[in-house]
Amino acid sequence: MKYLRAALCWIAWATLCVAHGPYHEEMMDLTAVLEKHPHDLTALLRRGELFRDHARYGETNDLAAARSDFQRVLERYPRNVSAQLGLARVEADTGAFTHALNRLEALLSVSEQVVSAHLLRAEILVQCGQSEQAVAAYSEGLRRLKEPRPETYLARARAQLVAEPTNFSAALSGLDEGIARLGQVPGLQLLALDLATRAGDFEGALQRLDQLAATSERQETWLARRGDLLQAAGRFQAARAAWAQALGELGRLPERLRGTLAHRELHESLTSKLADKFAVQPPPPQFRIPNP
Amino acid sequence: MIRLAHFLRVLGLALWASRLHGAPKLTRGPYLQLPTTNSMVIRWRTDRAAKGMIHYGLSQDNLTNQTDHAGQLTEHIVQLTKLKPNTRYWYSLWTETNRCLLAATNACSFVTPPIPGTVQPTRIWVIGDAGTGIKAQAAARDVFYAEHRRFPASAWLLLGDNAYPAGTDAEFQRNHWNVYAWIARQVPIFPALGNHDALHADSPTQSGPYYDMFTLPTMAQCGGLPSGTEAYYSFDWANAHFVCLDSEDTDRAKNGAMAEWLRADLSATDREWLIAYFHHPPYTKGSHDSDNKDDSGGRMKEMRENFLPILEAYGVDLVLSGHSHCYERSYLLDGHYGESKTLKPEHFKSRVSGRRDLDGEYEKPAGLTPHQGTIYLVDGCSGHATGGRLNHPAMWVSLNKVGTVVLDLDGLELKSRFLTDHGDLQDYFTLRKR
Repeated sequence: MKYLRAALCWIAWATLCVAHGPYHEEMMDLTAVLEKHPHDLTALLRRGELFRDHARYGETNDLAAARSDFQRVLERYPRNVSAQLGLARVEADTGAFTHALNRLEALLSVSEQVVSAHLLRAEILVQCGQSEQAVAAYSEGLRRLKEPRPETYLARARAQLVAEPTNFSAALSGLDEGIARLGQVPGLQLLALDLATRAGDFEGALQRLDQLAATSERQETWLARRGDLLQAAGRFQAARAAWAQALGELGRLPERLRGTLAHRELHESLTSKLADKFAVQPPPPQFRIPNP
Repeated sequence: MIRLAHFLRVLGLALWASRLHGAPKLTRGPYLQLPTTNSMVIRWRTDRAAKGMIHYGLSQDNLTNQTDHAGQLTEHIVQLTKLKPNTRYWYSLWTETNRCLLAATNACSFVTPPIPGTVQPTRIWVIGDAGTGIKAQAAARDVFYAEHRRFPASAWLLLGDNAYPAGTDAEFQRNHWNVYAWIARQVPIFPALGNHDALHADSPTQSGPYYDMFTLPTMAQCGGLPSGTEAYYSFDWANAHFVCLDSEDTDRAKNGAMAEWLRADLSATDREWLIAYFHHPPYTKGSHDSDNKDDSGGRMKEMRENFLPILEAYGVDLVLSGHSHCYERSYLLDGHYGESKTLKPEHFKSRVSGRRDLDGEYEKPAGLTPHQGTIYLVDGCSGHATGGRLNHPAMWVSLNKVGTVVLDLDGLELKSRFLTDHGDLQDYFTLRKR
């Protein structure tokens, strides 16, 4: 009976693999490993992750299968961090946010150095609408990260803006922390620049623009943006000068670079702005709205 | 019997003590990272913590400069600074006790990049899914080594899955560093993260063996704009701009941080050539199928739909990928972001082979002109070839062979060759700008 059940399981798996191609080949390999070594930690964790990853393509029972694999690890190794994180992710995927948060908080109470748990907790708190706590969790994760990446600073800034929509300075200082650690990353500095503009700090925004421009050999896009900023600040003559300078830079580019999409779009936009000589009022500013 | 046991205990203790106090041994590298016109990072590993030192200079017999790092380490990272652009330097590795770990005579030399924009012949070696540790990997490597001796490569691109099966440190050691030790000490490496490497690497925290062993340009040290992460980055070499994307473990959304950075980076470059590379191929019918939305968690589809429009809008010339364990090379394509059944005649900018001796080379206008055609090349076979249907209609050629790709850039000409582990030239094409 035992062998019959194993054979049926294997046939079911094989059918699934034929139906879904190479994505499942790895799962089948792992299943084969687990048939021989049912407690293989690496195989269980990897298969759990694969099941969870695949669940977003609408496969039924994938999340249950992922949960089962992570639970099997925890039955044998109750303190396994990867399994606890995996299970928390599955719980978050199924909307069981409270369970996920409880699990992560329990994990962090004994292993507060697990950076991934802080970051996952922050993501779940964002989904729960608890933005303030999410900011704190992101900050904790960032504090412990040896090599943070821009995405985490951006996520924290977005959470900060949801928590306090008009408190630009808090979001800005978070972004500045990222810029200090990672350098003039366009994603961070451009959001900071837009927030400074929204806060009415045009000088600050111009300074940020200068810092960003200093990283680049080509200046035309930054000069055009400088013109837009100056226009938003009501400094129309200076804005026109910056646009004209940008157009001059474009004209000085070698022929081979004048066909790029960036060149064409910028040329069109600058020409149109400079032709609008009667513009005396600033247009409604086109701010970049942070992604939710 | 008691005497024998006592003797063995003393012998063991002596061996342990000699290991503790003897000279450290080189166990990894040296290998080259973060090349700039005036600096180079050299990394190596020793079996025991020690202070590392580099002697370097302009000739093999005259290593007049020295530099070292602080502290006693097993992972040694030393940056040579104040170098001259486009210049060959020789180096040797030493310990603080004046013991030579590796002499310059062991092919320890490198050439710094030229001033960005310089037009000069430049060779790039490209390997993908190489880290299997089987004989075919070494055979394909040896074929390239012969090429390198004729005209040395400047840079070396890894298209991911650099160490099978799971990207552990031991697997990297066995299937990458041990296999490529000779070339690693001469040519700087620019890797992309593969799904197998990612099994023990984590992009959000930039941790794990892959991130620990590579020092990559996060702050535009080698050209381009700062990405702030080692997961994706760009660099310049001569008149080419290279972009490495993370198709495995970073947000692949159109408005994600990687896409935002890519747009900014591409709008800032003024090089003649634009070459992008990442692990998951946008078009393939090899061991993976880019039409299958389930395959690889939909990564191939997402890269095709979200990143090709950006790359093509900025005039990308060549896109290199691995993942599918075969060699596939497309026609000159543009604007195709769907499944293979949606490929239409208007997506082909040219339907020739790219070979002058057959029906003609590919041609594009000079510079980075949007939507003038891109070659998509899958080189996921530098360690093994595992077949597949090999019938993607975007491809001019699809092969189930083990091999590596050699790119030769010279002015307005890009030549690509696929050399198998048996030394056969199985594909070649030329892309010329006018």
